[in-house]
Amino acid sequence: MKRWISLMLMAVLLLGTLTACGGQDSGTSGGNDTPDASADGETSDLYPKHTLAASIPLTGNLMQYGISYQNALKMAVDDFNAEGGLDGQDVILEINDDKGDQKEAINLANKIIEEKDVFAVVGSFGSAVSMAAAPVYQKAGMPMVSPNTSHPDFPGMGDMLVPISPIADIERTAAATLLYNEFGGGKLAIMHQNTDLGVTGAEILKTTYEGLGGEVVIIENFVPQQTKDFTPIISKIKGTTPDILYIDGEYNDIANILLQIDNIGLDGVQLVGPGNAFKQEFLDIAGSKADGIVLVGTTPVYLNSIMEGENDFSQVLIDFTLRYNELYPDTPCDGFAAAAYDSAMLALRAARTAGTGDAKALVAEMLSMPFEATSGRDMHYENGNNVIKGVYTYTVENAEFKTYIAK
Amino acid sequence: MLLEQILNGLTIGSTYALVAIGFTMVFGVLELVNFANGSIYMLGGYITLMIYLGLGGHFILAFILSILITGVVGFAMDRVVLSHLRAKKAPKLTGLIATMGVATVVDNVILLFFGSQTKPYPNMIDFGKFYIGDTAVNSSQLVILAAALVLMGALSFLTYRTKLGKAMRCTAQNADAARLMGINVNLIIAVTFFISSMLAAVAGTMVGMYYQSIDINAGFTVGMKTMASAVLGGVGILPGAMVGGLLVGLFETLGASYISSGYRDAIAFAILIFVILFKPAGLFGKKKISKV
Repeated sequence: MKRWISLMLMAVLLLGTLTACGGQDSGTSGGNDTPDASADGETSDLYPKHTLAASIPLTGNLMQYGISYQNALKMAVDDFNAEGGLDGQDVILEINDDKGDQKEAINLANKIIEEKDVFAVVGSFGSAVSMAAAPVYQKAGMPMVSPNTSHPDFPGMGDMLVPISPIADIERTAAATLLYNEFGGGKLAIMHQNTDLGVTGAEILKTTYEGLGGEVVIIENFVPQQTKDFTPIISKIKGTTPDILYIDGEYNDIANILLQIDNIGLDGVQLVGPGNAFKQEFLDIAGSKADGIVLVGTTPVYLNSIMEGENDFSQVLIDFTLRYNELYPDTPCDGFAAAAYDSAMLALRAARTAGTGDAKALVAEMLSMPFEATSGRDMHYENGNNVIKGVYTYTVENAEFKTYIAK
Repeated sequence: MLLEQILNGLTIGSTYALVAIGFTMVFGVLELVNFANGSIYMLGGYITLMIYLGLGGHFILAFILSILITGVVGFAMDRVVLSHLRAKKAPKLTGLIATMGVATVVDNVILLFFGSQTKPYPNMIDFGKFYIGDTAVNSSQLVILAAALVLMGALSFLTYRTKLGKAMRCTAQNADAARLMGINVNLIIAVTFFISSMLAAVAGTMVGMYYQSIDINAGFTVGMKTMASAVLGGVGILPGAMVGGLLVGLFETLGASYISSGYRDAIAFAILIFVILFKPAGLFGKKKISKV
């Protein structure tokens, strides 16, 4: 019996080392050169560092976003190295798994800032995790490019932080204005996820909508990824007879809410949601129950059907989408992948011109250089590190995304 | 609105009851808090979905296969982990921690296998809806409630009216005495795990169909509520788990609708604690004289 148990244990250990190796492989596959390319003595003064680090959730509940990030980051580094890298030397991509956990992200941040060859870091998913790690990078003077941190407080946390996603104000203000203008300023109900961003976003929406002269009748929240049954909240909202219901959450929670709204019946209420739902997976779950919803976001929908019909999609964006989908057929291209691609590309392109020795100059270059984004349109920075992007509005018809045409 | 909320509560409650029945059964026989129950429930849901997609639409077959496979997983969990602990006379707490370990393993295997995306689930129990006044009643809600009742009935019959059930109850009362009477205690316990895991698979599939989606938090979400349901009803008592589940669902819904949706779980658990203070053995529990 003892031998049997020890055999089991050995098997488990072996499995552990195998998966660990796998992780390392994927972590360094961005760089084709040996990891100590920088230590070979021939490094020019302009590029003393060659590693771009990433802190993303590759295990745990947020794994799916981490996978999209990982795909896009690899693609960006490979693209950049194919363009010639930093003066002929390849950039190395170092991917770290922060599990989507604040504590883990802080530990990782402390590890990354000690690494001599890292010139910038991309991470992490979600405002809560990014904002937990941000002070560590800020204090160490490490440029941190964050793909999807849209909490309004993030840009103000330091001058080494470079957000790629605009703060929620832009999306929510645009949504509020659209709602007021398109649907006659009717009674608005808000249902949001109980996160830092969700709470702040709901407040912004309320303030803007009321500022325009509309009425907000009810604000309800739910715990993301944990609340599975939304019926009590939906029934409660139904009781206040709103004209419009704004649902803020990740795509899966919004999809589940739509399915449950269909069960309970909420007739004559215009449904509205954020850009998080611009994913094929959203429609896979909600299907035609999402018909008629209006979605306002700062990223486009990365589907061929949409891109063909639209003229305002840049060639960069179309190329990116096609190549991404070709490289990673199992994970459809979405705004999260695009934002990660932009994060890496922005840092890399800036490093090419500003060098990797001076972190402050690198950040200044990121914030000022002309950059055509794949994660939105008209992207630029104002007042330091506040990113501005255009807004896209979509609706769903017969379980397919369609561009929303304003009345 | 009250009627609608009560209906919402009863439906949530029946999903808890479905899972709680299997949980309470293991506790009844082993006095073991099976933390892996929620994970096994989720595993059952995923296996049904996987086989259903793999077979290209044979739902009934997928359902039956999934019930059997999940049952075997539960059986294996007892054989591989828990029976060795019993053989070594390890304290009850060790078994409890071991089930937590199994839960972690199962959760992560599911995560690696299926990814963290929320998967759409086919709804085979949707036969349309009808209205009572303003309140929409969905057929899936009725099916869930009926399934919980039927399973509770079937299991009660099994435990209180069959030889196997008698053996289970004997094992629960005194494993050593049961062994002396010629009962294969280890087999009985393994069978209990088999049955409780089969139940979990039924519950996982039903709840997946009802919500038309499944994700990797499904087990965790329901796990705490299941334990609460079982404790409220009186742990180890099957009708108690049923009533406990329904009540926890009702508390939660009414708390969310009339007090605050942000504190719905807190409200549900506060009521639970309040009830337990007055009836420590649960609503249906009897005071037990512990034999040392």
